[in-house]
Amino acid sequence: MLIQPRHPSVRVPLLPHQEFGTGSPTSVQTIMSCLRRRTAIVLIFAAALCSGCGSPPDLETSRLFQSAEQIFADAQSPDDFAEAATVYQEILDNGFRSGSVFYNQGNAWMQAGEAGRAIAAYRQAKRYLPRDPYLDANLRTALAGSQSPADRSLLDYVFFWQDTVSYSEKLAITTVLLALALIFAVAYQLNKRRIAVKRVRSATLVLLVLSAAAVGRDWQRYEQTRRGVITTETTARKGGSETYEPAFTQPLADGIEFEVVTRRNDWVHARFGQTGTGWISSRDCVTY
Amino acid sequence: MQIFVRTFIASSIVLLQFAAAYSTCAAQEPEIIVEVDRQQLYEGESITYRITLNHVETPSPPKLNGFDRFQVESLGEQSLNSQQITIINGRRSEIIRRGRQYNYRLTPLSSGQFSIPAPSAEVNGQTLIGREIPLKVIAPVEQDVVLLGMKASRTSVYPMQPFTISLKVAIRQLPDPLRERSPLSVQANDPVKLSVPWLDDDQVSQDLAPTREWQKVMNPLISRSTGRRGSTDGMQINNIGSQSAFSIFSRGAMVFLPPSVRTTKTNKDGEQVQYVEYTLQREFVPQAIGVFSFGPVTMKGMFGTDLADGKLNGEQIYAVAKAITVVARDAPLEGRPTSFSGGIGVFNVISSLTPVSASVGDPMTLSLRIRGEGTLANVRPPDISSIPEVSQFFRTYDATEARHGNAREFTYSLRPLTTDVQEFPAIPVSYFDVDQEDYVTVRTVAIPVTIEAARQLDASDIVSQHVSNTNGRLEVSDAGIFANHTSLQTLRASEVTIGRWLALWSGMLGAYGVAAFGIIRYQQIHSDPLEKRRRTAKSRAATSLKRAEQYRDDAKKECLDAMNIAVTGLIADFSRVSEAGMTSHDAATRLQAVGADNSLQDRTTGFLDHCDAARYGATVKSISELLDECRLLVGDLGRELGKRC
Repeated sequence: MLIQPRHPSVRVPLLPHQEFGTGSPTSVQTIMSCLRRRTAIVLIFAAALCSGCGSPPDLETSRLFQSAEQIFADAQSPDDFAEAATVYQEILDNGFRSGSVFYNQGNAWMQAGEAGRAIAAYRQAKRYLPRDPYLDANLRTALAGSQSPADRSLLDYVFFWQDTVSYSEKLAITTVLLALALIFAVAYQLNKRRIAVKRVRSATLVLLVLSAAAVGRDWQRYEQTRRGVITTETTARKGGSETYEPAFTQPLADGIEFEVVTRRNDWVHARFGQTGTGWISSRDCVTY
Repeated sequence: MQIFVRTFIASSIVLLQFAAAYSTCAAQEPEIIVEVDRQQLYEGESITYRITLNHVETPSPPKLNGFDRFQVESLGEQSLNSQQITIINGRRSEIIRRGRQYNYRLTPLSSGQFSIPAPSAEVNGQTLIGREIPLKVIAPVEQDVVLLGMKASRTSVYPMQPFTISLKVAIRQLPDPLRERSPLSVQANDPVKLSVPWLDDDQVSQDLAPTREWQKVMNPLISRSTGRRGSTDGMQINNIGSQSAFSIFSRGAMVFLPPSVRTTKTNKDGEQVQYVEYTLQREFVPQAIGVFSFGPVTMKGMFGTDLADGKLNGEQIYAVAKAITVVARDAPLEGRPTSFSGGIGVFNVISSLTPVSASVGDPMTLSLRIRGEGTLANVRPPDISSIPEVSQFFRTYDATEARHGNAREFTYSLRPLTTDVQEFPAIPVSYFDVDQEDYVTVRTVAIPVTIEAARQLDASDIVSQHVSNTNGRLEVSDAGIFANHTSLQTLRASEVTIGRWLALWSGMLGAYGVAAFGIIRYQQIHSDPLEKRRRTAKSRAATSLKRAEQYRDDAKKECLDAMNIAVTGLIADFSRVSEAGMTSHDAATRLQAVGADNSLQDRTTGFLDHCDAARYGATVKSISELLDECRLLVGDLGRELGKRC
């Protein structure tokens, strides 16, 4: 018995600037398969983009937002700005977490003279608006009076681009890269003689790993680590009670940032960069 | 094996010795090593003097103090990193050199026995002192066979002023009856040797430019005269030709015969004696101020002196002409004009000015180009601010300069100070002309200019000038905060629920898994030839049936074969066995194996038997009947086997 020769290749366009060779005799099936793949790609991209876009506010949220803006615009005193910040907090507490709301709340706290709370709000806004120059400027202004220890780790230097892409954008990019990697994996499986497809698949996989690592780092930073900011000058202590001795030689000023180690009753065990740890009353700080 | 072991041990010892030597070397103290190629020489000859700073990481050139009795010439320097191991009669000696080597040519200026002074060198803050080397310089024996004389056409010159160095070699004529013969033609295959440093460009100062290359000087002097017994008439000069690529095939250096005249000179006994006088000369042009030394010149070889018993006797002669110096001095201070540019030679100067029309205070550019032959590198930019006609009407700034071939261009920035100027004045530039031995002043031509009053600024111009302490650059203020985000259109909830994303990714991976499995399965099916055969079994049977119908009227045998193939092929394809040689019994067995109906087995067996019988004319059925039966049978078999296989 002789081995049957393969049928002549049928070339079907899969994507612009890309050709796909088939080894199957049923070219119609191949064409249909390719069309289905194109549809799948479009659907995946659409899903990824929609996932990253976020949802618009409902009627109640819009009403609260406009109310807060009105209070902010009419504010004459720090108390008025603090009231505006409280309304923004109400929006956030209702589950509508938006970079713009955090940003506006930060502005309100700044005008109210609460730099520590403003820093906390700006930090959270930065997760969603990483490239907003006004947010950066306002955060710099808020941080100007604080003496937060620099705690950039090695990973921060490795993922130097981490802070220019938001968490949700990273998730969308990772999804797109995963889709591309799978598509190219399928394409390579269909025709293993296409070296170019193999290379693109490998490159996509590398990018996917990098992107997934960045997502993992954000997940660790935002969902596994709680941070906080001192809102009133206070003294950190060596234990969770006023009876303990001060942990540092100087009191902690408004605006100093820290990482939450643990919480116990009304006390927060905080790590201040490389300086050390201490216990502070939850009344004197805000955590997020 | 034994040899291998010995070789290994020997190699290991050598490597260990190298390693030990290196480590020893690394730990050794710095030292200064002084060497010469010989310690005895004739006056006028040179020796190679070598100073090695050994085991020194950052060497600096040694100091040669007290070398007044020598003419010292540097031959360059080189880095050293060598190790030499010598084993003689079982004794091993080792020389390690790591450092820097400085080479010099020393020419003693007098004869006698004296020492080469010890050199010194500064290494890492400490002074290393070398050793003195005794030297014996043998003065030439007083003789009157060969007389060397060297002189310069001028002993004091200006830069760019040519002068000629001449060497006269007077050789006493041969005794009678050989007096008409050349005294340089009797040396058989060993011509006399003349050493003339100033004919070797490598030994001529860089500030001294010969007007002709040494090759062009020497080429016309190549001897073409041949004496008796094949000896060449002439002398070797500077050993030229001995280092050529063809020297290994020739007898030695080239022989030259300079132009000669017969002359009378007084010998050491005060008698008038006939000499043959050869002349060599070369012209030089000093390029800079300095003292230039020429020589000494030496000649050695065998010269014919007297005739005894009809044979010419010779004498080994060494003759020296002492070095002479020529001083290239600066242009004289006497009569030096204030516009002297520093140039010595012959120059001209041209100028250009752009723009020639300007307002008071506007910038203008003046270019002065000085071109000519001479010490162009010494030419300084003329000080135009010292010219009253310039400084009165123009503010001047320092010149920039550029070199363009044999010209130098100086560019000045100017700003007119007044409208009362009609032309930019002529600029005088002086140089020293060595031919006239006097200063010469050349001038540029005056350039007509039109200078207008500067435009007066009106009030609006002044008001529009914004003065700020930030040099006019707009900067963002750091004070305060930027405004809120107020648009509801851009308000979006951006909360991230990682679980949803993980679900999406899981779905995508699942879809990929399904697709990958489907592809693998599809490829497996389509790459299995037996499966492919089963899938195409019905179409093959139909094709055979169609062929049988084509042969029904014309070719009974082919028709019967095609029907047989249609049935047996169908069974064989579904049963995945070979159809070749399949009998009715085999077909029934296969059908029974797959569980086909008994009646179908009987019909198949009967049809195949009828086909066999029809081939030999023993059947009662016609071809048409068999074709109809075959068509029905193939259809039934296809359906039955399709269900069961």
